[in-house]
Amino acid sequence: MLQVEHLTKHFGQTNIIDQLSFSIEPGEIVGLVGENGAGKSTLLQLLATISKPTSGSIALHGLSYQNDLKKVRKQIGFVPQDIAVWDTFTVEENMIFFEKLAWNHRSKEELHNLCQDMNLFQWKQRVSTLSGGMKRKLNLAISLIHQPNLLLLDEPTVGIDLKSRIEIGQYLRRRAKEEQTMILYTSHDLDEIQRLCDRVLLIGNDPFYRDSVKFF
Amino acid sequence: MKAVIITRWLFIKRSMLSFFFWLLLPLVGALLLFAFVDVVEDDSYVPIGVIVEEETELANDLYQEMETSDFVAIRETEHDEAIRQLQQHELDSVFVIHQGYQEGIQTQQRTNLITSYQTNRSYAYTAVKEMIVSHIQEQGGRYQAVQVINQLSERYRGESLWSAEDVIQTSKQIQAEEQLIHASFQYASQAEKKDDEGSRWEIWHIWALLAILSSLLTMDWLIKEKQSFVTQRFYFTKLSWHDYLLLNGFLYFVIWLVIDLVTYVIFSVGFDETMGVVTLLSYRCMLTLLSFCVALVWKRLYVFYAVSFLMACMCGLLLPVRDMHVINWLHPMAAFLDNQITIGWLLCSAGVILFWYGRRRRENAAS
Ligand SMILES: Nc1ncnc2c1ncn2[C@@H]1O[C@H](COP(=O)(O)OP(=O)(O)OP(=O)(O)O)[C@@H](O)[C@H]1O
Ligand SMILES: [Mg+2]
Repeated sequence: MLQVEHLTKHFGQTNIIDQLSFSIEPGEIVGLVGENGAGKSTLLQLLATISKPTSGSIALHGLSYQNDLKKVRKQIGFVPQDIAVWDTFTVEENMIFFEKLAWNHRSKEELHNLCQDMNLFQWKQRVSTLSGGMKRKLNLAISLIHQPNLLLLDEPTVGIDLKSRIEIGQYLRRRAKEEQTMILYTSHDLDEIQRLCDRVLLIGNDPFYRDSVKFF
Repeated sequence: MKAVIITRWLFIKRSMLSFFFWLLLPLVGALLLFAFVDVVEDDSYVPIGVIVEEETELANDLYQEMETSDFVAIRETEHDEAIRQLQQHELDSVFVIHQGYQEGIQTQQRTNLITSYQTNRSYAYTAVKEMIVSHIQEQGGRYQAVQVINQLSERYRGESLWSAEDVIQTSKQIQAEEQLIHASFQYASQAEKKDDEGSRWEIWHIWALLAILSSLLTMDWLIKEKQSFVTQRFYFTKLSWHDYLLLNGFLYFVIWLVIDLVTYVIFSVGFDETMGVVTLLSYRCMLTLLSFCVALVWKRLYVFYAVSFLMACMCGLLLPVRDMHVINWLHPMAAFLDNQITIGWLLCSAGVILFWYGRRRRENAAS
């Protein structure tokens, strides 16, 4: 379980996240919504240990972010908003690269299956020749190599077609139910959020989002 | 380390050609340039035609004296052929040692011993003429001494104590021992070059310069990789980003060492150019650390390439004046070329990397 208490983040004088508290249960998919600049990416980076909160505490399965940083990191899968893969490598090479640097060993077959599960079949194809949707799938697949308990996805479906969106959504649902993975998911597509998520977390002050989210 | 080797291999196999090009550049480049310099040096001898009309000891002496000169290549030819080549500027100038040369010297009749030909483009004519004149004077002087001594001894004792050979032999011996005046002809730029000693290190000079360039350019992976969004993923890998970079730097160091070992063997076996192993090791160490530093500092690839070429050029340009105190002190190659352990640049680079590593480590643990 992920527990966030009184989380606050300032950049200089600006208060991006203010006294935010929430929790996520195992197997739960939570949608994170808010206008541009609301602080969604900022929150995900805090939860991913990439940046440090101004105050407040976060704990993952009882492990404190402050004291057990290394153990916490092993359980986190972070899917960056930018596509973070090696462009010159093939899909296979990308998977092997990150498997070699991962804490746990995965066989080549397991890696291959991981991509297949996401309907990414271009195993031997170079990333630079893949479509945007395929790259997004690979971006997600790499983050899953070390079998994280907490999956943080920053707009993973930006710019991809409906079919790929649905495929990614289905995969995430399956994963949450089968492996009891906690998933925090940001998107500007409220339909998608509605389809996929068990719960919605709203940040920022935009009345449009407030009103829209009320209908869930 | 195994993970680093495998992941690095994924990068290297994509760019094998450029990888090996830069890796072998110092070795192959030094060999090629060295061969080229040798060819150019052969070409830089001025061709002089010599026609020897008599087979005597003194004529032969003169011929050999000309041959030992540092800057001319003597070609013995026939008269007509020599003139033809001179007209086509294949020969710089032509000297004819006439029939009767030895007798002329011995009898102090020093006219018409030599005929010389030159053109308006003759470059070495005056120098060779000077050399011949001084040689003839030397030879003639010895025979003059024979005459004088014989005249004196005849006058005072009525008999000759010294044979002509004795006098000449003694005179040569004295000259060899005294070496009062030693004239040698050289190009101005080669004035400093002493025998073989000066050129002994030249292949290592070329190598050291090319090694700077190629070490820098092979470090470009660091710039390319640190620009990528992929760096965000290294929070969730067993190697942190700074460890990953450092271990890869070390891997490159090891690869370089292997190539250096091959270079060392080739240069010492093939060219008899010895170099201290520790000197070489410290130089390689410094190069790796320095290139790593430079790659850490710059963000853009083209700026990095520009800086690398600039650094290599500066090192090359400052090489001829590195005897100046300050430059010798600051020049990264100076210690290596003096066959000494490179310390200053090595420690500086290591310091910068240590500082960077410490800061990265703290940041990573605190986030
Ligand atoms: N390192 C930083 N220094 C200063 N301000 C920052 C920094 N990172 C983010 N911000 C600011 O924090 C605010 C929130 O940014 P963030 O990227 O979290 O928004 P977001 O909700 O992800 O927006 P988007 O929907 O466009 O992705 C923005 O106003 C941004 O300018
Ligand atoms: Mg964002």
